[in-house]
Parts: sequence; structure tokens; C-alpha cells
Amino acid sequence: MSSALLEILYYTLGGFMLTNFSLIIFQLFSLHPYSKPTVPVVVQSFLILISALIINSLNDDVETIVGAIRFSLVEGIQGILIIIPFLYIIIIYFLLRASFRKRPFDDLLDSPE
Amino acid sequence: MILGSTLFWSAILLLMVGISFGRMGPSFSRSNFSLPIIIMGILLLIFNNSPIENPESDLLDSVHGFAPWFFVCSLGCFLVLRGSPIYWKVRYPQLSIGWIIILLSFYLFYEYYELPDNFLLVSLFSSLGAILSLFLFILLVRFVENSIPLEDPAPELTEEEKDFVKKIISINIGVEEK
Repeated sequence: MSSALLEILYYTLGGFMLTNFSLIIFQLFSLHPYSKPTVPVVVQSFLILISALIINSLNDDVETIVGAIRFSLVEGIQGILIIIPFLYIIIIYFLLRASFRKRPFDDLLDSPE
Repeated sequence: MILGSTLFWSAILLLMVGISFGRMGPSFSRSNFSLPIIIMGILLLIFNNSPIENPESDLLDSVHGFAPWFFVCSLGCFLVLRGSPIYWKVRYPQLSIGWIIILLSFYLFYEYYELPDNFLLVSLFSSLGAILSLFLFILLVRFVENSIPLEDPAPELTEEEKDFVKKIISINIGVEEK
């Protein structure tokens, strides 16, 4: 496989594994009487394992499954760090609109005391 | 994995756990622990002096460039939100300080943060992977929720329960119970 294709695969699997990992942690640590996390957590763990096996077989620098998971999570977090500035541009645009927005008159809030 | 890398992943885990604890809903009482755990994770990330091996050391370099503008910009956004006329009247001190801090974060961004050459490729395909994962998660949750049989309708309240509800509502709306 060409190096460009491999790079694309690493970034995609990195984002995939990081999100799966975050969602597993989220489900376990926000457990409540009405949540049913067993099936999603098991399937997501299985998907992480398969992704790690793919990375392990394709990347010569990675020697173990744990190494593949570490490598992919780093790729995923780096992707997030690159996306966040662009998200902040969108947030700042909406903040700019909110700053100069004229709030409509409210009978309850704006009435004299 | 050496100690520095283990501590690095522990910090990331603490950040994720802290964010998960912050959710609202039936587990809301855990949200009290959200901020302390997030702060613990950040402190562990900052004060981890043990040597770190690759690939974590590359990521830590990116985090060091990313963190200054991110925290300053987040603070600015928070102040602008507090000062904007969204739910209340405009608060000029918060609003103006917020915008000054956001402008300062732009300076920090250009000074300390460097986007990689292939940033479009990275952001596009990382997002694709993340969206794929979210989509699968939604499908899994939908499958689990659909496989749970519907419960029987709840029985009507007893007289004692009705009196209890009336009492609570009367106290809350400040009306004497008749």
C-alpha cells in the first residue's frame, strides 16, 4: 500500500479509535440505573482491537497491540488538536453575532422594579 | 511503557473521566467531581517531569504549542458569553475584557502553535473516523434500546401519594394547602 494511503488509514483509524475509547469511558463513568452499556462497550472494545490489529500488521514501527493502540490514540488526539482551532473560528463568529445582538424587549425582565 | 508515558496516558484518562462526570441527568451528583478531576488531569500533564518516549513525546510537543492559546481563548469566550446580551442585559466590562483576551489568544496562536503541513488531510480523515465511530455508537444504542420490551403502564397514584404530591407543589408555589 502506498505511504499516502497508509497515512490516510492511520488518521481515520486514529480518530475512530480515540472516539470509541472516549465513548467507552463516557459510558462506564456516567453509568446510571437506566443505562445499558454492555453491548455498546463490548462491540466498541472489539472494534478497537480489530483496528489495533490492522495498524499492527501495516505499520512496521509498531511492535505490539498496545503500541498500535498508543500510536493510533496519538494520531487521533493530534487530529482533534488540529480541528479545534477551526471550531473556535465558528464559535467566535457566533460570539461576535451575540455580542452585537439587541435583545428583544421582555415584559418580565425589562419591566421597572 | 516507561513511567513518563504511563503518567501521560493517566492524565488523558483523568481528563476523559472528568468530562464524563460533568454530564447532567441521573448521574448528576457525580458532576461535583468533574472539575477537580479535570484539574488533576491538567496538573498531571503539566508537572509530569519523567522522560516520555515516542509517540507520546511528539504529541506532548503539540500540546505545549496548543495549550496556551486554547486556555486563553476559552477564557475569552467564557467572558464574552457572560457579557453578551443573551439572557440578560449587556455587561460591558466582561464583554470588552473577553474580546481583548480572544485577540490575545490569536497572538498566542500565531506565536506558539504551528499547524502541520498536511493539516487538511489529518483533520479531514480524523473527523471521518470520529464520525464513523459516533454513527456506529448511535446504531448500537438504538439496537439496545429497541430490544428492551416496553414496560406496563404505571398504576394510578394512591391517595397517600396524591396528598404527598399536592403538599410538595403547595410548598413550591407558596400556596396554603386546603
